[in-house]
Amino acid sequence: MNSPRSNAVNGGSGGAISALPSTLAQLALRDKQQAASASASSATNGSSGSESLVGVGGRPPNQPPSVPVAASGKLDTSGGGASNGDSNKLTHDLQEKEHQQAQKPQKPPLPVRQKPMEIAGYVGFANLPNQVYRKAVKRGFEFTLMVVGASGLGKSTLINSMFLSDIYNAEQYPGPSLRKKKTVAVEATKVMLKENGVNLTLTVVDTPGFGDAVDNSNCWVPILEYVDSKYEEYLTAESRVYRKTISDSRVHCCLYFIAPSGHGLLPLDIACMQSLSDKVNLVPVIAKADTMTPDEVHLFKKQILNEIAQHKIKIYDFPATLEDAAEEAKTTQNLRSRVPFAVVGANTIIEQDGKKVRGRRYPWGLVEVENLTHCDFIALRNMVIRTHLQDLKDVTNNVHYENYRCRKLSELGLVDGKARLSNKNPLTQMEEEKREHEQKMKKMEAEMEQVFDMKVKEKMQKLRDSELELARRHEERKKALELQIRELEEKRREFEREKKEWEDVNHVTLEELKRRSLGANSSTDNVDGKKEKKKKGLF
Amino acid sequence: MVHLVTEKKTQEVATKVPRLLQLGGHVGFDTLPDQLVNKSVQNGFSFNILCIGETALGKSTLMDTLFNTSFGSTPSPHNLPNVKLKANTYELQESNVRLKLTVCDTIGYGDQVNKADSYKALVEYVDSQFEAYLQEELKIQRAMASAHDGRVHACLYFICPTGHGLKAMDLVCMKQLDTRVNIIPVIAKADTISKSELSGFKERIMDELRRNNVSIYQFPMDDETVSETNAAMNGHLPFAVVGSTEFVKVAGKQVRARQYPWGAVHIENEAHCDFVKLREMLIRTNMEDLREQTHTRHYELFRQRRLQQMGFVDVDSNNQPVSFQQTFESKRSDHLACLQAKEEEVRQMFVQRVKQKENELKDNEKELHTKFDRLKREHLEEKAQLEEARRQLEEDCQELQRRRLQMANGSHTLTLGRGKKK
Repeated sequence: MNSPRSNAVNGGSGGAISALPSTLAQLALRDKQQAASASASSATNGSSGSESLVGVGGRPPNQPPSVPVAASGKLDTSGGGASNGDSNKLTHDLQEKEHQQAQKPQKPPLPVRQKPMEIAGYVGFANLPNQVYRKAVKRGFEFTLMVVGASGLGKSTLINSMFLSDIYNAEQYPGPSLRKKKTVAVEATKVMLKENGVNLTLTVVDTPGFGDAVDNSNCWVPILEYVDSKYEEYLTAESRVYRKTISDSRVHCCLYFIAPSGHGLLPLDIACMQSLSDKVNLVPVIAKADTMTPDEVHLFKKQILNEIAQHKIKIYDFPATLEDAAEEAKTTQNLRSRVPFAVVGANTIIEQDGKKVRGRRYPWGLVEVENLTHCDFIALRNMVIRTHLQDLKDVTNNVHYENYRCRKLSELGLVDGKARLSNKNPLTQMEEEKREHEQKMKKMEAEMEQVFDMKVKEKMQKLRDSELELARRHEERKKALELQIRELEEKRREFEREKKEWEDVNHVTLEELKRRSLGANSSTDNVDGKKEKKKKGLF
Repeated sequence: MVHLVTEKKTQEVATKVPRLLQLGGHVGFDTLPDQLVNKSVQNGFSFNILCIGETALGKSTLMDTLFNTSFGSTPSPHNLPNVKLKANTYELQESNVRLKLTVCDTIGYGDQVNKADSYKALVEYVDSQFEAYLQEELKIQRAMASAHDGRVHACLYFICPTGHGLKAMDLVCMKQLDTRVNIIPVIAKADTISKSELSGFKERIMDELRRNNVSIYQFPMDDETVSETNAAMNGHLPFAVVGSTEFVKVAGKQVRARQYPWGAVHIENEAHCDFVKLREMLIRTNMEDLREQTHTRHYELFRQRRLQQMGFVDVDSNNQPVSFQQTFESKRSDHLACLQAKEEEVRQMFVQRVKQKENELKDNEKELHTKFDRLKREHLEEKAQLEEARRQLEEDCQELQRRRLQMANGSHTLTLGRGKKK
């Protein structure tokens, strides 16, 4: 049974159809038939569509309503919270920008003539959802479901019940309990399912050996490692230069099986769920719920939810979607209130009152798996598969994977152990570092230049001082010498004056006397003459 | 032992090919496409069109006609010195589907005397949209869903209705763009070409595109729902269109048309022009494919070029796969080494400079000392001369003193002196 699509082909296409060539007319006719199968609300949408489109010319375009992913807020880690905050801020900024952009080109609409109804509203992008639908069906879908819980809680049975197929069977593909190991292992089983033309590649990840050991310390670590390894694979594939279609094997949903003790969560449950809640969409399930009375189930659920809240474990909260009509919303709310789902798994088909039902027969009665008054199986299947399968994928992609990626990339490029504050990608960060380094180099260069200049100046000054000192000394010596020269000249003038006086008094010059002396000794050489002269003088 | 064998076999089977299982009833995952579509409708769609064509070819009018609204653009003059792009974003709604439409118009295209660089602004615009998306994708904390996606999903290339063929500018421009955007060529103002001329014109255009290896967008034929229609439409390319925002009354109905004295051109009459074909193909049938092709082909090509430009590779020299982290760490090491080397280089240059300066200063000092040594020698020489002069003066003084004594002791001295001589 195909669910009717919410999109509708606009009634205005009727006019266009008559003018289309045969192939186009055929296509339009097919779409019209699809539209005919749509619900009455779709017809209403058609009418409102026309009204809206007429309005587009008359008033500012509608702002897209803000549709935050409710799950994001609850499922985020603190880091994820920052991410979500940034996303919200960015969204808000973008909306403001869009508003400005939308407002800026708005001018009084030109007067237009009255448009015929059958043509006035037709553009054709109302058919976009159909196009998206066809593309999606052609691509197919992938989903990875992880089941975690101790042995003997009915995990395999539940999985087979959920997908009405023998994903696990005793002969070739035994469930995790039949593949016990000494240590916890993580194993994946991949199957192809097809329903009404929709192809689903389902991967079920189970954990044989979980909680079975005497010492279960850190037995959840292999599970975390598996989850992270899938994120790592996706990140690597996404980061390649040449990307092909990326296969998505990330864990989209984790069913955590709680033993039906009736008392509460085990410490192992708490520790494991705490570790997982930041990384995957966690859906707690009470296993083998047919071992408790309805009142016990009710109290047990409350106890579990209290402990989950107390230990700050984030579980997937099955957000309501806008498409939910009033009745559907009510149903969804009722189903959501059943979390954690108390389920019974059974693969046996039993005939009762002429009907075939899936259930477990006891002497005291038949537990019907698909009876909401017996257990929450229907709620679990409907919420996980029929209404929220895509959202589980989206939350995994937009929240958990982005958180992983953010942590991973933040580790890259740590500088001296200091966490980066920038949101930019590592490449841009590196370029920024390069620019910062250039700035640093310029600064260092400037400082060195400054020191250099200072030292050079210092040395030049020293040299100048030395020069001045030498010049000063030279000047001093020069002055002293000049002084002595002047003194000597003075003495000579004094001598010349005395000589003149003496010569005047005696009417003879010293030169004449010298010449006479020389003349007297003309027979000997000059030197001998002097010597003799001196000796005579002394005597 | 048996268990181990079974286990191994199980693993082998699991890794080969997934089993195709039969369902024992209705499970409900057939709603997955609806779940996806509902989310898409909830979030709204975006579509970005780039209109390229010469001024006055009716680009804006056609946009108004296509989307049945008035975008309120103003006609452009012919005197712009270069090509400019003007992007406007509108919020439209049809039925319950919301569309954020961005129309980027080229202003001044084909108006210059030299049109050699006209395409560059267009390539730059397209690449800048890809770059913005890539930067968001590479961010550590990114918001792919809410960030505005400005990548160009469709490029309507308006061909001037010459009736002869493409202009050189058309080929140059489309050749630059065909690996970047989905090009949908349209013949503008097709009401100026007769029916018989039109078919020849279309053929020549397609021939020229093929000869010049220009890849225009092909309507996809891999979806059997629309493959027949798309194949037929591929044979009609390029669409010959007429745009009009005016209406005339025909058989009691208002239809878009251009009124001439010799008759009215009905925009939505397929016997008159290909407008309906364009609308059906561009919007109603293949809008999602245009978006998909932009993301999976054109953007990926850009991303490959860009990452290679940044130095990223998928395999190392030994042809082994390299992860992003490895590449980044390697680049980071190179980056740090490069920074260090640069720092060392600067330091060395500085050391060199210091040495040079020191030598210079040493030379200066030596020169200074040489100078003052010379001065000192000169001084000593002068001093020696002074001493000589002093000695001379002293000698002269002694001589005078002797003569004075001789004169003072006149008779005795003279007598004694004469006596000795005699």
